[in-house]
Amino acid sequence: MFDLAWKNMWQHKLRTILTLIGIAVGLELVILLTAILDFTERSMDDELAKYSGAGQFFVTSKPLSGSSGQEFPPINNTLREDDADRIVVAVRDRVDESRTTPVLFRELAGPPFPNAPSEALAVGLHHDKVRAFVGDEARLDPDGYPAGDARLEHGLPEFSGPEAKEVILGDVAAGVFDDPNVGSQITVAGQMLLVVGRIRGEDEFDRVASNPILMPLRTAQEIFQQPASVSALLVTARQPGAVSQLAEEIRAQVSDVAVITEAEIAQSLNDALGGQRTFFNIINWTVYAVAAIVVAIVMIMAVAERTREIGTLRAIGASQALVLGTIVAEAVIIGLLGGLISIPVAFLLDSLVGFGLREVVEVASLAQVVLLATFLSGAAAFLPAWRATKITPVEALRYE
Amino acid sequence: MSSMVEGTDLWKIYKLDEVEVPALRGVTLALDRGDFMALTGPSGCGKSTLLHLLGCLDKPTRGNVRFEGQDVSRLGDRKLTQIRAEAVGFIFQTFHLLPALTVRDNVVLQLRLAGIGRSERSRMAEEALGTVGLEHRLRHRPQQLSGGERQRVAIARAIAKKPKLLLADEPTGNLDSKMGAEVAEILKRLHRDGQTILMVTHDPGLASQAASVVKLRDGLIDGAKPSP
Ligand SMILES: Nc1ncnc2c1ncn2[C@@H]1O[C@H](COP(=O)(O)OP(=O)(O)OP(=O)(O)O)[C@@H](O)[C@H]1O
Ligand SMILES: [Mg+2]
Repeated sequence: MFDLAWKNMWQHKLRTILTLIGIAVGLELVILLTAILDFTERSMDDELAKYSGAGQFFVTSKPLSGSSGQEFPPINNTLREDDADRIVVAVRDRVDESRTTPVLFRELAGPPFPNAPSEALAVGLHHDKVRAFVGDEARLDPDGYPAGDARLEHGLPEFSGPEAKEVILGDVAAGVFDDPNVGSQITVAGQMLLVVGRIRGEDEFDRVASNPILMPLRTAQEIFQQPASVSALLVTARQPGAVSQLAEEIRAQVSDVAVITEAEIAQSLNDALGGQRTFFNIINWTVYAVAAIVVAIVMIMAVAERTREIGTLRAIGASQALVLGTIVAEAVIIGLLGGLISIPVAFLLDSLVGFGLREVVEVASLAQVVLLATFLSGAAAFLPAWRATKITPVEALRYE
Repeated sequence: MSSMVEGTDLWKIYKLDEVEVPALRGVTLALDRGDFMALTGPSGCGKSTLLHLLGCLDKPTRGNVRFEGQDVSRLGDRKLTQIRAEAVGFIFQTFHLLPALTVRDNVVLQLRLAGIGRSERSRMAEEALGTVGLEHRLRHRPQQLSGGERQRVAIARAIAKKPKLLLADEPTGNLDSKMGAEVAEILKRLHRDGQTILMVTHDPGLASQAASVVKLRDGLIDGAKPSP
């Protein structure tokens, strides 16, 4: 069945090749979109889990009334620095002060696609509280150091003082600055800064440690010309389980602030992501539908032009089931090949746009695309295949 | 001696829109085992139609077909297909080879449909192609062969499975006289070896080679009266 289908398929080489390319090009889009969605979901989940695991949350000013949704982290909010200090004093006995710091965010390079994290996010914080922001899993990035450098043996780098003109770069952020080695200078908002460390997260989904350009708070306030304010206060509870209680207390004691915990933000992120998921799925299913229709059309043509051959087959003893099976098998092969070809096509396209598919793509998603394409293509062939079984040998043999 | 295949009072009426076209009007005909019968008659008299009924390719509107004693005229598609696959070999005027397959695979496919085991197929296909003198063309495609060669492939395809009944519808109709003579020679040889053959032809020369000749006219055996 498959051998005959395979041979029939190559009776029209050009048409078959064009069909395969058409299907592959469509599916390649599905692969990219699925990878983007998977990546966004996983990195968000990772980030949220990190905050909740560590008992962390942000306190910032109330969003202006009417502004919808809350970002996480709150990179576009502002909070007066003295308000931040007052809050720390108010709940001092229940917070881990070594991991509680006002932070000033400034997005230097936006997200590569919607709902993704910024590629480069300047983060000003107390110069001795780098861990408060990047978490315990962050480590040195060997790419930023000469091979075998002794500094790689040590822990995270530190800033030399509260006003040091220094930065520590996450690996993704470093990419935005052409991968400067530790010891070289970069320019941020017109200010030359010394790279004193390069870090990266535990894996490629760990965006907290990948995307920041960390610098002392004073330095950030100076170069971004925001002297007495910050974006938010990053608070670490002494007991990770007590976050919601502590959040309640801050809301009660300090008026006009918003407390953004992981739990609340997970909801709004999921809402945002839900829209994206729906949109991407519409595109994906459209691609699948078009691919199935293309297969159906091609098979209808194949059946029409093979009427005589099918009649001959029936005359010499091929059953209806065999005729049906051969047509469906041909479509299944087309779907399978189209799906398989779409994988290298996706990587080829990815190498042109540099999205980084290799790092984020999941084998399960690729398998799903190939299997679904194979299945849908076989299903799409049922109508033409069924029509083929209705061809009677006598009729087919009459027309010469 | 029992008949190989036997049609009794066969009617075939085609409906074209509302008009009924009777192609056969009560034909009774028996073909004995080992016979080589030629069916002749003017164009449109129902020769192909009769051949198709006797070969289980189609069902009569009225009447019976008995194949080796079994009434096949009311069998379902699956059973008829199986009889065609195993017991009937067809040769058509326009060859009807599958263009996607090589000469050898065309024959092998027919053997597969006939239920011949995988290990036997190649040997039997090559043997049949040897019988028609095409052992040197196994890997060719039908499109790469001359008309005479194609018809010989079709004959090899039809006889490879050693069918009980060999049907040929104008086997030389698309061939020049030299190639036609070759095909006739092959059919005669098969007949000598005991093959039962029913052949439709216009060509009196070819018909005269057969052991018996039946003439059709207007859907009836020449001289017979239509059944009521
Ligand atoms: N599927 C069909 N629908 C309608 N009429 C048909 C059909 N098949 C055959 N006929 C008619 O039945 C009659 C007999 O046809 P058949 O093909 O058996 O003739 P034939 O003797 O083989 O002729 P030829 O020598 O030209 O091949 C013709 O009049 C033909 O038009
Ligand atoms: Mg005819």
